[in-house]
Amino acid sequence: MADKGELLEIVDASPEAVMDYFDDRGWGDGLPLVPPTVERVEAMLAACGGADPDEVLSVLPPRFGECTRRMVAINAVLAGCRPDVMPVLVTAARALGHPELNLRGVNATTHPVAPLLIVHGDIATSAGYNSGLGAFGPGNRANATTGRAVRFLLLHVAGARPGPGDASTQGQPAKYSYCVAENTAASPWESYPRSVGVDAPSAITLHCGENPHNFHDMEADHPGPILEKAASVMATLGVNNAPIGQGEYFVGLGPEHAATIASHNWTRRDVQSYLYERARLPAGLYRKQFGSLAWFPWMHEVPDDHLMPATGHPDHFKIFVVGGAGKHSCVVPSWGMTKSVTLAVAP
Amino acid sequence: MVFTTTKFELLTNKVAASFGLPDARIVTVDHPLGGTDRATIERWADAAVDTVVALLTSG
Repeated sequence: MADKGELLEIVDASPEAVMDYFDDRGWGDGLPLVPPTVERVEAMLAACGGADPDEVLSVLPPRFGECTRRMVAINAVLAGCRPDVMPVLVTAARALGHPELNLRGVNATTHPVAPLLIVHGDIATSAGYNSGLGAFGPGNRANATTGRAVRFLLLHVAGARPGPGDASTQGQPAKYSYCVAENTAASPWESYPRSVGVDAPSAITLHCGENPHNFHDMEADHPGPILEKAASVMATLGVNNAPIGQGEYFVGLGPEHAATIASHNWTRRDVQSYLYERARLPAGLYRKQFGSLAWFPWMHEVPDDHLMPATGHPDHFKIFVVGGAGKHSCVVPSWGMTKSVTLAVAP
Repeated sequence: MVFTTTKFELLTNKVAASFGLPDARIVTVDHPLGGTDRATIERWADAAVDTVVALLTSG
């Protein structure tokens, strides 16, 4: 039987008292919270089209808390969400439970990994997500509160509090909120979900990664110089992916970079192949720097002077378009021992 | 049996309890393992042997 939560009576409903009440119990992220009253939670659940509020969507480690629509709704209220983002959050809750995402490892590692939620398709527009200028930054309620609600699922359902449930040495700002929308309108290619075989009006992707690593190219009129800079951001010894053959790199191309690349008839696959060929360091350098290398078997067989790709296959470069005007793009390296998950949105 | 270090003892105990093993046999050694020279690591390992044996031979 799923946990249906507990009704608490708060005598003083002032913002200060509510914050103290939650803070005293170790709940929340340190920022002000919206009290999850019965009425507010019911309004959230109403956006799920009559689906069972107590169906277990996933079981989240390390606490192995059962994540139901009701739990999602409570945390969505706490985070300040509007009800129209509920289908995104319910789908994200499912994705968090997928084995290949390895949430147990994500929460237990000392690395500062955070789940990046990318919203795709119709719901990105209807619920008001920002896929354009400043998409990773502040100022948009859907992005800010949806990302925050995902973190609340980790804090409150998974038990991923720093110390007893989250071992991240330094943490990172993206552990507060980490959500953007794909800028499909400005993308020269098919939507990201379709490129990975998910053909649905709306979808989400969860990618457990580092903060965005910016790269810029203000001048190029050809894909090469732009993607060389992306490759140099990836071919570095400091990222957690460096000694890991299966590591994924999400590449969030700004629309202007994407347009320049596509104007030369480069496909998404061309970009992946180019990055696979160019994001490389000598195998011997990796061997010198890391005593333990989680490589594919073939990677151990090449000589030291072989230029080793930053990851073991072109498919591990995940290309999507995000942002507005300007010549900036970013790379979001993964934690390494995790694979991204893309699902059709279903409430 | 699980090995952990002093800095991750709390996390290890919480995870063990989450798996339904609150009485899991856990051996805690000094921290950090990464970046510590081999001789020191071996000294810590030697110091843990009695604990390992005790845990393996207890009820």
